[in-house]
Amino acid sequence: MDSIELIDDYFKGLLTGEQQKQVEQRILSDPSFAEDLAFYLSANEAVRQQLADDKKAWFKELYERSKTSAVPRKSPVRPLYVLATAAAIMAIVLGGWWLFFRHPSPRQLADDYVSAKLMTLGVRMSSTRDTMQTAIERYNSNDLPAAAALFESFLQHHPDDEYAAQYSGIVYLRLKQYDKALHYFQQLAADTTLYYNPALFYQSLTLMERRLPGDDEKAKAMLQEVVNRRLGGNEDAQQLLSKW
Amino acid sequence: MDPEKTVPLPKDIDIIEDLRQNSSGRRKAEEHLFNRFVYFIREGIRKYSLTEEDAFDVYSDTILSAIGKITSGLFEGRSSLKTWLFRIFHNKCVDQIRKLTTNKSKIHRTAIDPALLSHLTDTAKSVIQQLIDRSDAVLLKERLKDLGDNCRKLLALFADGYSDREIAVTMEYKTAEVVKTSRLRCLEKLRQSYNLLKN
Repeated sequence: MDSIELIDDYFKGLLTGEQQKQVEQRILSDPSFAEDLAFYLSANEAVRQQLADDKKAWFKELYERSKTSAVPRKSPVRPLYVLATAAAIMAIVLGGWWLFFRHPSPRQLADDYVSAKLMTLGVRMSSTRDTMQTAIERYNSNDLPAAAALFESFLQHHPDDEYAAQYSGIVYLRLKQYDKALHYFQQLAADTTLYYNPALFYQSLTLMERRLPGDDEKAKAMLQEVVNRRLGGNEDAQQLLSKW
Repeated sequence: MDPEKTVPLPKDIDIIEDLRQNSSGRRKAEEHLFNRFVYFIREGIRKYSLTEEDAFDVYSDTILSAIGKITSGLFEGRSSLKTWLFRIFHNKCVDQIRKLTTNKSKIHRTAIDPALLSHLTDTAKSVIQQLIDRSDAVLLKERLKDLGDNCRKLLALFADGYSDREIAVTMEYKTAEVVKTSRLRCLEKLRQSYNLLKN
């Protein structure tokens, strides 16, 4: 077992009492090992700090959103009704102004896009695609888990069908299973034979929804790439970037 | 009008459960937790005379601390979630006021997660702390940004309290062992990148 693995196991509490003692003795007797352990802790702290920064930025967004939310917040002191009414009117006016002029968050942009364009899929006319037709019907009737199973089943039998990969990705995007959605969109992206391939656009949309640290930046860069290379979803990408 | 009667909000127990499970519902639970007690910020402004920015910072730190405690099983549920959170918030407000009213300059020392440091004996802790003090936290953070997305996500999830097994599920790795190997490889990559610029 190399040093870093031993250190990892030590902090995860996987070592026996005897092994723990050996680690502690090595810290005092082996400077190189002590350096390894110090680095392990410093790196862990740097990651924690970065994570906290990212979460605080996200909290800031939530806070700004909560200030303009129509839902009243609990307060231990009940305000006077007159003041509350005046404040509510002011909030509606300011909230309307804010909603009109604000720059929505990437997730909001993605939500709006999904609501406007991905709630239904076009029914295909081919008679040979029974499973696909059924999957689309299930999707359009909002039975998303069933649609996902059917799209995946179809894809297994028709691994080269670009719609099967695309729709599998879309249904998992709607189900908020973003890693699975990305998997299918990446599979679609790998198909270089397509004239129109919106895989990169959908990957970007998925990252906008997922919002793990670094996702927003990556999504924006992907949208820019879609526009620059005039890939599938180019016009939608331009619109999203203009509102970013 | 009580907003909780008109808006279907998740119960405290559901938020706690989702946080503990480290599953796909965790981020939503974090959002619910933040939103549920966001009015504490107003309390910070009104009761403790903090600026909105300071009150927001204190509340954010409170939520981060609470998430850390809940996910690691340190919240025992002896009091309600609100009472427990407000106690943390109150203590942090008091700390913030002290920080603002005293002129003591901050000691620049890389603060390591106390839960990790507690593994070490006092003598070992002192040796390690000296080595950590000599490290360049800013450079390390910069180098971290240049790691690949996959590496950053692996390290971030681990630092956020996810086990290798939970990471394997979230990131669709075959096994926890594969996650561990990949994670330690990322750590080594970070170290090489850091040493290259530090030396």
